[in-house]
Amino acid sequence: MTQPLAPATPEDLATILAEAAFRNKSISLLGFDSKLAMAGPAVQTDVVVSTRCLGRVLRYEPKDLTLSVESGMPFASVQALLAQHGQMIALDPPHADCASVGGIIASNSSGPLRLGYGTARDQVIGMTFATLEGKLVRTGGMVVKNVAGLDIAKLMIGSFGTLAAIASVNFRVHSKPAHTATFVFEMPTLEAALRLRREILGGPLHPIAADLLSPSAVAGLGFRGFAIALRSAGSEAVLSRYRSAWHQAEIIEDAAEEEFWRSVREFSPDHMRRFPEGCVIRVSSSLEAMAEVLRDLQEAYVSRLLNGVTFIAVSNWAQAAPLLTRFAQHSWPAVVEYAPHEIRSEQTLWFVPETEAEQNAFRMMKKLKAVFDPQHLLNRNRLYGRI
Amino acid sequence: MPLTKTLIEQFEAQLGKGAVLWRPEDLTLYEYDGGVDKARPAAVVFPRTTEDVVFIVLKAREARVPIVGRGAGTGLSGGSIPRDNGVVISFSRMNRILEIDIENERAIVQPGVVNLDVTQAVKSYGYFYAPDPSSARACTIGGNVAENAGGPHTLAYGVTTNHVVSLEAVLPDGSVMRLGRKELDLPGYDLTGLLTGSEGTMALVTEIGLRLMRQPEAVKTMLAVYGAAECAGDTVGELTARSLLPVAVEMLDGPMLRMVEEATHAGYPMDAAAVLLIEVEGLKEEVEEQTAQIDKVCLHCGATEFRIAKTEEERALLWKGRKNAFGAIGRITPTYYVQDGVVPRTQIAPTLKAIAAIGERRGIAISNIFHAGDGNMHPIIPFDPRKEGDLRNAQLAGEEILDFCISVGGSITGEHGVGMEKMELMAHQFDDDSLDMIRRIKMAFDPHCSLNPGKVLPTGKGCLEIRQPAKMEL
Repeated sequence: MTQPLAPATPEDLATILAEAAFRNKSISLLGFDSKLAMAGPAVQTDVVVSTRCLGRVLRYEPKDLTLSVESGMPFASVQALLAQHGQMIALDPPHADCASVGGIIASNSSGPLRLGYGTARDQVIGMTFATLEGKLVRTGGMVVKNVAGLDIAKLMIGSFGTLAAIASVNFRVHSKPAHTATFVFEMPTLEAALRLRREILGGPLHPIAADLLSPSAVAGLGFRGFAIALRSAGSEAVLSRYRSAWHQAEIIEDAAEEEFWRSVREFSPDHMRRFPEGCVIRVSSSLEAMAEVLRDLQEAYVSRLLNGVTFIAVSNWAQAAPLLTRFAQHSWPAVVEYAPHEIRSEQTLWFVPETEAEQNAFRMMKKLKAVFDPQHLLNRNRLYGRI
Repeated sequence: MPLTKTLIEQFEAQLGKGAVLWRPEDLTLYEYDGGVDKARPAAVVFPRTTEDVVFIVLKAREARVPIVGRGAGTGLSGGSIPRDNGVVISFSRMNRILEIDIENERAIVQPGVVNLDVTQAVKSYGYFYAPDPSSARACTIGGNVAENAGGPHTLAYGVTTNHVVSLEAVLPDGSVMRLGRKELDLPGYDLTGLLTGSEGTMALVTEIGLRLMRQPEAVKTMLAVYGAAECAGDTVGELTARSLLPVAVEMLDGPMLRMVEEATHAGYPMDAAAVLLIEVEGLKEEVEEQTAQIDKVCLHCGATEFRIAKTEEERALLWKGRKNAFGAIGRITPTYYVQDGVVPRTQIAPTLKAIAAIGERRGIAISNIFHAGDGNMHPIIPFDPRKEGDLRNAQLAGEEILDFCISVGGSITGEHGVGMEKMELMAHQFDDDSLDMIRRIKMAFDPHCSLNPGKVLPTGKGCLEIRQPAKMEL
């Protein structure tokens, strides 16, 4: 692979991009390479730019609950810094131990905690990015409420580096909860599990994470059948309320709890490590449709039970293809999130059955791509093969 | 300047005679919003469907007439003022709640639905719609999306953008886009997030998918009274530092709370320098504990009194004071200018001092009522329109306040939008490259600058076309 260029300042990042674009060179943007098996295939390009030397904390104001860091800072280091002040970025994405801040934001990665805190779009309050014209563009700021100008950061979140290179990200941070506890319900059937979900929705309790794990996903974690894992947070008094409400569940706390959620969070990357030929499909559905999405599904999966997002792990493409066809027939949006490079180069990864009005929306996405990258040089096809 | 007769007739043929206003006497109602700027539209049209909107957009495009969307006209930055004349599309008749889907925690609404009506419609199911601007009884969801509206409870729940999951929008070329769905995590660029807060300059939103939230089990509202405004400011920083998470922290300074008390009899103390109105929500246990801790923090920071609303009536009364504050101000000064700046939460006390100093220098009695919890300041700047230069003096005071907000790392608007009020100030907060990027993104949606021209970007940095007068003939 081409030797990566690793600018040490946002200005250098912008200059490198401008020079490459001026010479019409194709460019790939990388952080710590944690997501090379994810989304559209990363291909050989003329220029490779890594953010790994953009690792500074630009501003951290614990009392304001705001933080600004450069995009190449390891996400784990940021969390460690915040933890010293009892704070956190409320995101627990896969690859959290080895990914860069910029990579997590560019891929819109999230984890089980999204139920309680939302996703990247709810945490990012500002951003600076470098364009192919060599400019540094600022959007948002360092305050939690701000409507001055367009919220361009929203475009960058989940763009997989196809528009511009994120140089720094401003976050709102959260206090770490005083205590947490996790309640695991073993359920004999999917129907029983979904009935339990209905009970939770009807009651006053608000877990910060609620995941459904299929029998094969949970077997390695020491549980049987379908498991619903609910994480609660708060004071001792609050937790005892959860304990009495959910007394039938097995409770996990402390290190075991952390380890449990680490496994859930890393479900997709762990699967790809074990099965290099494997694939992970992400399918979105309404809560109501989840029963239908998951019915008769034998594969290992993890569902964000109250968000309607499911990650299904299969051991090869032959198993993935029929699932994707079925989801498309029902009009449930799905993507091939992880798969071997060759598969991602050859197959359709983005299955969103589109109405005419949705096609118009996609045309607008292409138009925006052309505003940022008219020569189509940057992270070509990384956005699930379509942009 | 009236539009061509043919255009009016075409509108009337499609929408019905009662759905088009063009006589000057009918248009005066539509020449202002809640801010201080004015401009008369050439016509106001009232679509009922997305197809109507497409028709209007196409006809206006043929006639090269600009279009401005309007909800209830409660905006405070001139967002719905047709500054280049043109056609105002009033969404007040697109006011149906299309679907309430409790199972999936969603509501699908037309843009003219009044904010509070969403919560009213889902209350009996135990749900609510979180963003709650002070104008919630009047303002519309479409306007909320355009401005990315906030409100007191956004401290805990986030602003409009955190609660919009999908949009249907009509582009200036008449094509209809559908962005997002009830389902989450669709691949592709987040155009829903981009359009939310774009102030009607890129597309006209014709349908909105909203996230509904489950009502909390318990809620408590309290009032902390202070002899010095700085102490109230310090309390906000201290609450944040101690990880206490009220859902709302509102501050009223002395002059403001006296005005409010005289008008609403909410039970605010007449002799205090400031009060904080604090609300916590959640499980009973959580609410009890947080209330006790907040009590301690307030007293520690110098509060002279700490009251907890004991009944729902007391609670409603405390909020009535806050929510009706703008009416109360009207009793003292019929014309005033509401500013909307944001500062980091630790900078509230210095900002209050700076506001007082600016007011003193300019001879204006500025009072403050604001969302202290997220540092969103709302200085109220009175002026007398009959006095030469008085409005300008008030506007300059506003600008100085916003420049102070920028200097401490804040923003010129937290929830009211840039509109035409703060266009020029955008250049104080953003450099040219950043402003140019906004312009180029806008132009990808609206290449001929026909949607809400003359807004958001400073003069000379917006669309070129804006500077050319729209073509209108008799």
